[in-house]
Amino acid sequence: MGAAEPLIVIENLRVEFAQDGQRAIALRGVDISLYKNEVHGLVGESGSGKTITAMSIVGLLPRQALKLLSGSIRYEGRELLSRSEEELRSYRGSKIAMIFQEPAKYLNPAFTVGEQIRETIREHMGLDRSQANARARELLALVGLGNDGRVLAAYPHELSSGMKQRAMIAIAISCNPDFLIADEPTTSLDVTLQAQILKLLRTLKDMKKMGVLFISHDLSVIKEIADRVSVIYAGKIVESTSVTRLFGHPMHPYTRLLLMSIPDARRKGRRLAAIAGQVLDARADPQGCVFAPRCPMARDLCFKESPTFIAHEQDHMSACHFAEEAWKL
Amino acid sequence: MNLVKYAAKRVLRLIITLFIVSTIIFFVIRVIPGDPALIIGGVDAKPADLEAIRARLGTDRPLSTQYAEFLWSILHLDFGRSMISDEPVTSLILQRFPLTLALAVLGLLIGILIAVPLGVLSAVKRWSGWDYLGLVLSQLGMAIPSFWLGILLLLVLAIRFPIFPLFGVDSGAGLVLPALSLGLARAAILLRHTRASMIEELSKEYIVAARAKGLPETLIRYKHALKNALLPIITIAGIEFGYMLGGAIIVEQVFSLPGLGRLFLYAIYQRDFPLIQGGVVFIAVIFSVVNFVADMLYSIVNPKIRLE
Repeated sequence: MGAAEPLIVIENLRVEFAQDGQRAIALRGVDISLYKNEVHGLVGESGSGKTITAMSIVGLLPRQALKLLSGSIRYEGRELLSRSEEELRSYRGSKIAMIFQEPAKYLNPAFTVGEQIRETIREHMGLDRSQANARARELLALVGLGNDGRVLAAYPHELSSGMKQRAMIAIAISCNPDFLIADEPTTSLDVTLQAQILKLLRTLKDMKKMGVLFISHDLSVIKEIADRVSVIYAGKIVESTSVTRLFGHPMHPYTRLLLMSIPDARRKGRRLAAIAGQVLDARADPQGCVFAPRCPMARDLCFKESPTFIAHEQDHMSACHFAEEAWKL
Repeated sequence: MNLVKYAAKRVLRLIITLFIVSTIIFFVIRVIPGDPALIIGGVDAKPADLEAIRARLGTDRPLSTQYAEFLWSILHLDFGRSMISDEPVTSLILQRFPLTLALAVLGLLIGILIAVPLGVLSAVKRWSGWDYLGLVLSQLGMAIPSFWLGILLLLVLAIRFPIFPLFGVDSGAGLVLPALSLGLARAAILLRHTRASMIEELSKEYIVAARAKGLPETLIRYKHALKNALLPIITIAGIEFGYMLGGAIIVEQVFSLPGLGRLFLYAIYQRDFPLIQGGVVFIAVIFSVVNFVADMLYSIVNPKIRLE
């Protein structure tokens, strides 16, 4: 996995925005390397900066509110952050596609599913109407919505929520993107549908050799789909490694505590661990570790000096002064 | 098939509306002070003459008889004759209608053609110079009375620079100024709604999705957002159109146009009962038809709205 060149490299990404006249920090140093044919899970609680990371990649940060401070996002070695809007637009939907949490809101209610697929194809692939239509039909069959053209002519409100998410996936993969960003795509679905959509995404990834950034707050979903995981806390990536290593041998106390908070049948009857304290205030810019105020193993050093995000073991990055001790928690 | 059922339902509703409306207007005009016989005969008329006029008009009979007769005749689409000119009410209305229709259509067109592009521009370039200009213009448009705007238009474009005729509609040019003063007022109202509606739609999630698909911003605005934003615009435009079809009294007065507004106004002055009744029924029908068309447009613009 790590042998090939990464498709997308995000380095030290910092983003801030104005909140009630004060500056608030949305991302305080995000480093992620994303590869083709690999599902990279990005896990963190709400407000930790998952969606902002995703939106930064496709250049869709809300313009007025968010200010990019520093960092770099490279796609196939070329910097994305300095690109013009027009150049970024040619990437979006064709090379990097996105699916979202609530398909009901992210599909336009006034147009048929077919039209919403066709317009994307026509924009990026330069096909004419009938070619685009034929392709849209194939795509719907591919995501399991049949090829009788019924869904093609349907409006979003005529579909069930699982079908809507499949339709959104069809739009996303319509131009054979190299990379797919999936922002909590299963959170609004029930467990059965969730499993089906995860399976579909996995199949499509294998078939198209796509890279996937799978955003979720749910570690059990991440465990099911991801090859590699990055854990984000308060706008900073605190740990990144393969899914087996992360679940087997976490090297950041936050990850360790997150893992302990997953309900587990084998630990039935025991209390679920909750992480004490509150998430770091976005307006704060501590000189020490962002997790130190809630960390059960924090020492003086943790409040004084921010740990660098480095490899502690082969292919296992962590931003903790005491990474080796985290698994003992 | 469904549409036929729907239309039948609407027609039934229209009939009930018409019954209620005509009943109310029948009694209201007879309860308010003013006797058509006195207006026809004049204040100096002798009581005997007045009696004779009342007998001729039929207003001397009991109200219940008059009401029964009124209902019976409108069932046969007969609205009677004007008490003043003795012409059939239907032909009086139909004579005036083409002018009013032309004015209403032009006024609505002008309103939409100004309001929608400016409203979209305002919404897209929010808090920019364009937006403030749009807001100020729409504030002015709503605050300026249409008679004043009409007179101003006449002063400038008919007298100072005689481009358009001062009055009369013998040529189409005569319609321009009245349509403009009607349309500018509609534009003011529609602009506000277009702006608000576009701003709302542009903040929806499907816009983010459209951007993530790499669609050009113009397509996102004019295809994705505008189609959804049209809904409230259609509602307001429909209501405004309905009002204009009932006649634009002030604009007709300023430009001395023989439209429905003045016809109905004089009918009320002269207590011309059949003409008032016919006018009210006519306006109710027009409103129902316009509403029906607006509802049809609704279901085209937003497929979620089913005709039921």
